[in-house]
Amino acid sequence: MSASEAPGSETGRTPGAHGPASPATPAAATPAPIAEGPTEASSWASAAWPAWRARLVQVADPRSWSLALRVVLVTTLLSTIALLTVGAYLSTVIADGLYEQRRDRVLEETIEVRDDLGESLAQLSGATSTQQQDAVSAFVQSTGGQGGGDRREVALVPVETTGTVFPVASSDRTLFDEVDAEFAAAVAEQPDAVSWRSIGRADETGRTAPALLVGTRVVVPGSGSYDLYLIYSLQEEQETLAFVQRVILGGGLVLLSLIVGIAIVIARMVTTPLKRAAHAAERMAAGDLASRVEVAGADELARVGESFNDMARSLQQKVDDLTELSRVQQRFVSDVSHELRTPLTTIRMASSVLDSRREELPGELQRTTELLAAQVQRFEVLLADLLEISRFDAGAAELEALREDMSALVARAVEDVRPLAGARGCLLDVRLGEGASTAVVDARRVDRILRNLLTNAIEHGAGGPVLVQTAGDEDAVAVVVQDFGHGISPEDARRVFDRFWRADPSRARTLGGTGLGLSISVSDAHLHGGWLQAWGQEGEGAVFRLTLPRRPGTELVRSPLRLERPFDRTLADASVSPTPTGEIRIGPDLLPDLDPPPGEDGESEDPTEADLPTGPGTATEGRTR
Amino acid sequence: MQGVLTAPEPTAGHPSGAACGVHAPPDGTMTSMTTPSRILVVDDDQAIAEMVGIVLRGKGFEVATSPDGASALEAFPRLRPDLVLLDLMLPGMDGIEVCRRIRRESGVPILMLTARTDTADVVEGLEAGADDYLTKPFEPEELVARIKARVRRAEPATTEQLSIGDLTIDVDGHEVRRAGELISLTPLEFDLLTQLARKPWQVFTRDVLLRDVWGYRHSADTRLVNVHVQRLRSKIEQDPENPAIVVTVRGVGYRAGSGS
Repeated sequence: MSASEAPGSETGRTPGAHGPASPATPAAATPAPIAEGPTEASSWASAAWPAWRARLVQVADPRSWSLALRVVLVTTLLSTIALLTVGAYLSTVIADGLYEQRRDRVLEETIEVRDDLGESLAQLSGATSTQQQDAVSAFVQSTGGQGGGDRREVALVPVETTGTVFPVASSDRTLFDEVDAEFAAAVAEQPDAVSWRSIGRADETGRTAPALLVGTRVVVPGSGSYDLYLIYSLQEEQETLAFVQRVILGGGLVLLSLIVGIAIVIARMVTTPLKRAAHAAERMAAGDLASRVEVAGADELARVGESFNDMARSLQQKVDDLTELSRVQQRFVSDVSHELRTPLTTIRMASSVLDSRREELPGELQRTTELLAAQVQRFEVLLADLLEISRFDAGAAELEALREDMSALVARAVEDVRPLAGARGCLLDVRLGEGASTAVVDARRVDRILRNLLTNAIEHGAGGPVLVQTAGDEDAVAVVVQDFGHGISPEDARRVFDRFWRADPSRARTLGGTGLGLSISVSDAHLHGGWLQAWGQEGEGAVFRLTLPRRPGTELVRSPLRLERPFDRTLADASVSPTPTGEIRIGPDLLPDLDPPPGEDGESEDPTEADLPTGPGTATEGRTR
Repeated sequence: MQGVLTAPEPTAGHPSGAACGVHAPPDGTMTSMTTPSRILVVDDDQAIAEMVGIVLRGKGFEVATSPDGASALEAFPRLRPDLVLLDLMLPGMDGIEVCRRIRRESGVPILMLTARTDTADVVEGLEAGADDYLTKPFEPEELVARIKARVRRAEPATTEQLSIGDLTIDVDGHEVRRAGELISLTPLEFDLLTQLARKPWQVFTRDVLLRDVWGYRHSADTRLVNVHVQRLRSKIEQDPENPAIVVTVRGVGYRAGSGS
C-alpha cells in the first residue's frame, strides 16, 4: 500500500491568503481533488448534462450496439435491397412481356379489322349512302366491344372521299379525345402501317387504366380513305401484372422474414458463446478466478472458449502461486515477529530487573542498563509495528468498530502526548469542533492514528505549537494535526506514508519512531474507509488530516476540514476557541517565554535544543493541567 | 518517551527498587497474607519461565514451573497453586486444552501468556476459562499487577448478603445460591457478579468493569468482559439466550437485571 494509492496530497489549491509560498505544484495523478465549498455542487450539476448527452451519443453510435443486433440489421437491410431489386426486375420483365404480347395481338387484330373493313366497304361501293351508313355503323358497333375478351372501341373517320361520303362513326365518342393531331398525322404519314401508342384512359370509376390506341388508314377503292382508330383496354393485363406484383411482394416479404429469422439464429449461434466468454471474463475480472466457459464442439467458437479456459487456468495458477508465495512471506514475517516475542519477553524482563536495581551498579553499568532498556523497548515497538504491518498485508486486520465520541478520543490522545509535548516545550492547541461528536470507529486504531500524528507533529514541530482541530458534518468526521516546524514539501507529502521513509535522512530520529507509524496509520484509516492525507510547505510546517466516515464503509466525498491551509502562526496561536472539555487554554500571551516570536521559529531548528526537557516546557505542563 | 523516563534527576526512592534487594515480601498487600501465594508457571521456554520465576520470587511469590501441559496437570493437585500462569503455545497438549482441564476441576485464576494477539487465539483462551491474558512481551510490573489483581485479596470479613435476580450471594463465603442450590463460580465470575449486584441501579461500562474486576488502570481489551459475561450467564441464567440477571445495555455495558 503505497502513498500514491492513498488519497493523500490533494491537487487543489487553496484560494487562501498565503500567497508567496510554493508555486502551485499539484501532485499529479491523484484521484479527483476534493473540492471544498459550493463549487463542488455546481460542478456536479453541470457535469450531469454532458454525461446524459454522451450517453445518447453512445446509444446512437452503431458501434456500441450488440453484435447480434448489428448482424440482424445488416442482413435485413441487404436482403431488403436484394429482394427489392429482384422484385423490381421481375415486375418489369413481366410487365414488358405482357405488354408486348398484348400489343402484338392488338396489331394483328387491327390488321384483321382493317381487312374486314376494307372488304365490307368495297362491297358497299354500289349501295346507297344510307345503306352504306348503316353498314358502317353496324360494322363499327359489331367490332367495338369485342376482341380477345377485351373491350375495344372503334372509330372510323373519313379522310378523303372521292365518292360517297361516309360520316364519322364510332362505338364510343370519347375515343376522339385520345386522338390528337400528332397521332392523326402519324397515321396519315404511314397509311399502310399500323400506328400505335399506349395511353391512359379514365374508366367509369375515374381511375386511369392503361390502354393501347391503334390507328391505320383504310383505303377503299372508289370511295376514298378512312382512318380507323381502335382503343384496346389493357385492364386485364394490368390486373394480371398487379396480381403478379402482389405475389412477388408477398413472396419477398416471406423470404425476408425467413432471412431475418435465419440471421437471428446465426447471430445467436455466434454471439452466444462469445457472450458466455465475455461473462466468464467479467466474472474473472470481478475476482472469481474459477470462472470457466462451457465448451461444446470443436469449431472456431469452441476454440475461443477453450483458449479462454486455458488462459483462465494459467492465470488462476499464477495468481494462486503468487498468493501462496505472498502468504508464505507474510506468514514468515508474522512467525518471525511472534518467535522473536518470547526471547524478547525474557530480555525485557531481565533488562527491567537490571534497570530497577541499577542504583546498585557502578556508573558505566548504570548507563549500560539504561541503554539496554531503551533499546529493548524500541525493538519491541518495531516488532509490534512489523507485526501490525504484516497483519495489514495479509488482509487479516479486522475493524472492531463501535460508536465512539471522537472528541473524547482526541482529548484522550492529546492528554497522552502532553508529557512529551511538555518535554519539548510544545504548545498543544486543541480546538474541538461541535460537529465532531460520534462516529462508528475502531477506538484502538483511531487512537493509534492520533497518537502517531501527534507524536510526529511534536517531533517535527521544532518546539512550535501543534494545532489539533476537529470538525464533523453529516457523513464524516475529521481531525487535523498541524505543526509549524521544518515542514515538508507537497511532493514529500505523498511519500510520508511510505514505510521507513524519512523526510531528511540526515536528520536523526529523536523520538525513536520506527518509521512505520504513518504507514500503519494510513492502513488504519483505509480500514475504516477513511482518508489520511498530508500536506505541507517546506520550512513552514505540515498538515495531516484524518477523515473518517461516520459509519465504516460509507463512501467519503469530502472532508469537513481543509487540508491545504496557511501556516500562519499568529493565526494558529491567537484565535482560541472555547473548549467543551473544560481545558484551560494557554496562549502565547500567557506564556511569553515559551515560544519564540513568529519571525524566529523558522531559523531555530536545532533539534538538540528541542530535545531537552526545558523549564518552560515543564511549566506548560503544570499550567495546562 | 525514553527521554522522560531517564530524566537525570537521581531519585533514590524507586518504588520497588529498594525493596528488591531484600528477600522479604516487599509489597504492602502481600504482608497481610500468612503464606505467600503460589504461582504455577507453565511455559516450555525455559528462559522465560526462569525469568518470570526470578521476577515473581522478587515480589514475594512462591513459584513452581512446568515445561508442558501434561506435567502441569499432574503437578496441579499436588501444588494447589493460587494462580496459574499458562503459555498458550505448549508442546503436546496446547495451553487451551490445559486451561480447559484445569477449569474442570478448579476455579483457580488462570492468566494466559500469548505471543499472538489475533482475535481467535485470545477469545478461544478466554472461552476455555482463562481469567485474563498477557501479550508477550510484557513488563514485569504489568505481570505482577495482573497477578495481584487475580490472586485472592484479603478482604475484611463481612456478613454481606446480596441478591441479584433470584440469586443470593454470600459475599464472605463466596457462595451463590438459587433457591438454596449452590452454583459454582470461579472467583472472577463471582467478583463480576458481586460487582453488578452491589449497585443494581447502575449500568457498568466494560471499561469500568475492567478497572473494578480485572484491576486495569488503562483501557484494555473489552473482549475480556464480553467473554466472561457469556461464561457467567451460561452458569447463572435460566435461559442464557435471554439473560435476565446480567442484562446488556446496548452501546453502554451491563447491569443487574430483575431476574424475572
